[in-house]
Amino acid sequence: MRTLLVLRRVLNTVPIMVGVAVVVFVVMRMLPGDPVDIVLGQTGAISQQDLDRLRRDFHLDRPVTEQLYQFLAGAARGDLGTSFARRRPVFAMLVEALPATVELAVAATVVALAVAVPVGVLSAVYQRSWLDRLAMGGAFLGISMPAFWLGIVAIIVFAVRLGWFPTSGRIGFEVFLRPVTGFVVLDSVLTRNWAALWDGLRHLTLPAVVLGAGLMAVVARVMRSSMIEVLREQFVTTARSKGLTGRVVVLRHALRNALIPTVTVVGLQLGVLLGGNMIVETVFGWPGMGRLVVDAIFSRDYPVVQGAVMLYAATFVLANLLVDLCYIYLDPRMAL
Amino acid sequence: MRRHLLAGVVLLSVALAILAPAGAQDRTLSFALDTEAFRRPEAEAIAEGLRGLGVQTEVRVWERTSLIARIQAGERQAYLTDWGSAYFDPFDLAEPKFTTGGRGNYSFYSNREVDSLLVEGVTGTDAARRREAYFKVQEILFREAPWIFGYFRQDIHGASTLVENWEPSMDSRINLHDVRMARGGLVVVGMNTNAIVTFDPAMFRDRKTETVLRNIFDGLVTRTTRDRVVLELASAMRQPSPTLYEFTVREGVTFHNGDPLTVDDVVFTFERILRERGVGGESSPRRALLGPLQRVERVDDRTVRFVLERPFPVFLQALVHFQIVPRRYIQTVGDRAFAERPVGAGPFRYVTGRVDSQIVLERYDQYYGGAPDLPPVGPAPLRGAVFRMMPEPATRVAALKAGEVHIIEDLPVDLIPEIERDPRTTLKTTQGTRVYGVELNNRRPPFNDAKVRQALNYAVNWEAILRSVYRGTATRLSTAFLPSGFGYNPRQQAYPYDLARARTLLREAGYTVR
Repeated sequence: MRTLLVLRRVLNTVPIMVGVAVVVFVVMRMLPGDPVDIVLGQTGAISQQDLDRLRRDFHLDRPVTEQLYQFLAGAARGDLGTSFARRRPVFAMLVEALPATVELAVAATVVALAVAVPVGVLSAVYQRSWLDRLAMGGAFLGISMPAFWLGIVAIIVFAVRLGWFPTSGRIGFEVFLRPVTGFVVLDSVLTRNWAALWDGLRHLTLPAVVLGAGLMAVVARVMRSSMIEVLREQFVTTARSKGLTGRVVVLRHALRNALIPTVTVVGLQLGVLLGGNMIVETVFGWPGMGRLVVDAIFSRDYPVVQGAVMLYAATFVLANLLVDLCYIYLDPRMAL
Repeated sequence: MRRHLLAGVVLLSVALAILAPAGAQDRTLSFALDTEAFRRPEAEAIAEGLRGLGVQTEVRVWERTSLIARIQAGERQAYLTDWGSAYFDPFDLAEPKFTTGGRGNYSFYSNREVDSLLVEGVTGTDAARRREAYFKVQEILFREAPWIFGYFRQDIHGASTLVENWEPSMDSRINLHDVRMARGGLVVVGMNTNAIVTFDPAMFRDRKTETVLRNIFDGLVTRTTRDRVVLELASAMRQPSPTLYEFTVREGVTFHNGDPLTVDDVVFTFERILRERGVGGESSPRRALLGPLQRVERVDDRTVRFVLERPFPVFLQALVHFQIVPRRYIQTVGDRAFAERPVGAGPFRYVTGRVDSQIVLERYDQYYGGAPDLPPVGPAPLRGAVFRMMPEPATRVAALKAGEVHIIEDLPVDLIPEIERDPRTTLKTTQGTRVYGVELNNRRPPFNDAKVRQALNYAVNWEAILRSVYRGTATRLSTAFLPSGFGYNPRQQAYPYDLARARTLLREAGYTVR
């Protein structure tokens, strides 16, 4: 029964993906600007012949409907075309950029949860205490601080003044790491390269904290309010009246129930984070999806934008699926 | 509901009919000034100044490509634009910008005489006559004022005081061959870009990519930090006729994989670019940079001949931007694999790296030495070099101050004090090769009237704007010719800031001024 449910959810994604593909295809072509013109730059006596030659190479001389068909047919086979600017297969470019983004998104989520869940719980348990006020004040700051500003300040304080972390990049050039999966942390563990692991984590810390700050704040607030609500529930009172200690009541009985809204928030936010955050990636020189896509939009690199948006759509669908599965685990009523 | 709407429309039409003649009597000049975000402060300052004259100017901000598309469609009135020149000649500046129907002619300027003078300048064989033609063009442009002529800027970079013997180049390349480090023997460069385009010298058009590739690959000729072309892989050059160039290829040069560099590699390099779909089934976007180059021939074991369709006086400037690639290696591994693991004959060897993060190079010990005119000659003093992509200027400055990088590109003016204040870092500046101005749509009112265009040239207080916005790092231009380029007339003065003359001209054109 459950398998069937999951299967149906997966099949539902096909029309969504096709719809997204068509929309992004059309929208990109509606943007003013000629990709061929951009590729050719300013210098040089560029003739109509030069323009035509590239237009043919990029198949932009074909009718739009034919281009759309080619794109959809290619995408179905896993071929997302070739980048106009870099002349490399889009698929390879995405595969290269994705690990950096995923690694950062996961690290940011881990940092955010590690801080926000305990803080939210403690704020709820010790409601209106100085701890609660401090935590919620911090969360308010976390939500309102722009990542750009926070990133620059973090670099100036922790990288330039204190020298604890590097300013930017994913790994130092003096550390040699044999790429296996493209994930620095994973690859260094797989190849038992502890120097690389240490260096990779040092590079990851600041961007993960900066990217995670917003999520941290949201989760702490959601966690606190849902915890307060749960603590008022009858089953908590029952547990207390059975003589269980406060810690057991909170951690064993209340926390699991209070986590449900948090999981929803994290799931949605993870989808956003996996798209790559252009600002954090730019500030920290992080070679991820965000920069790749923004660059591609500015240079009207249609195939790259199309491919990336397809990937985003797939990620969102997947993240939602994961959230649903988590519900089933956290709340057995869902599986009925 | 519908009746109300109808009544409204009728009322509005009546009101407009009454107001229109009044407007004709009180003709204020008003137009939209379109810009990209990075020049907004400048646009606002221009608009503010014009308001003092009673000229109504609305500043609008756009994304670059969208704005250019609208400009090209003739839908815009006045726009802040810029255009770079890499050849130190009006060939890639005045020619595209002012030739009737030119690819960069966003002002829709058209003047038969200018057209033919530019042809003379771009294709002429006699330097004195070319210069004369360009002087004449500047005179006419000044008079007809198709733009509000602007300025050029300093390229500002930062460097650690550990870096020795490095000066930034006017063509914005970063030549690391001659650089020494007081400590460590390794230079890290912070690049102002998200990613370079490729490692294949035939497949890019941007300067950032060239900055990196020029340290891995060498050309037949290269350039000093200014505009002079000097021999590099060629040991001699002859020009038997205006359309023929012959180069003797230097002996004893090897590629990083040990293959000797021969005439065949030179021929192959250019054929790849000239031929349609010549690079693994794709066409090189660099074809147009070679102008009228028709073919490249092997004359003998050491001599290569370039045959042009017509004279092309900037041909040597163009050749600086072409890097020789290894024929045997590419034919063996294929174009795609070559672009993943480039092999050149330059001072540094590619070790590892990705176009969007960092690129690690090490010294090539068998390097032949480089251009004899650019000392020191021999293998690079540096042990290695790293190029890191750091698109955020504040991060580049932080990394320089933290000692992580040693050279950073493109410093915005507001961060200059950060570098000046720190005893471990210095500013490095050179003259930029990009013209900034305000182009006007000469085909449509109000700017189809030369008087209005001239008036605006008098009405903009450039000295004040450049001082406040660019803190003295920009220099006013009399037209759109650069002092670094061939044929620039240094005696031609820019329009002075003269509100009285601006008022007179606007009145003559029939506008009410304050």
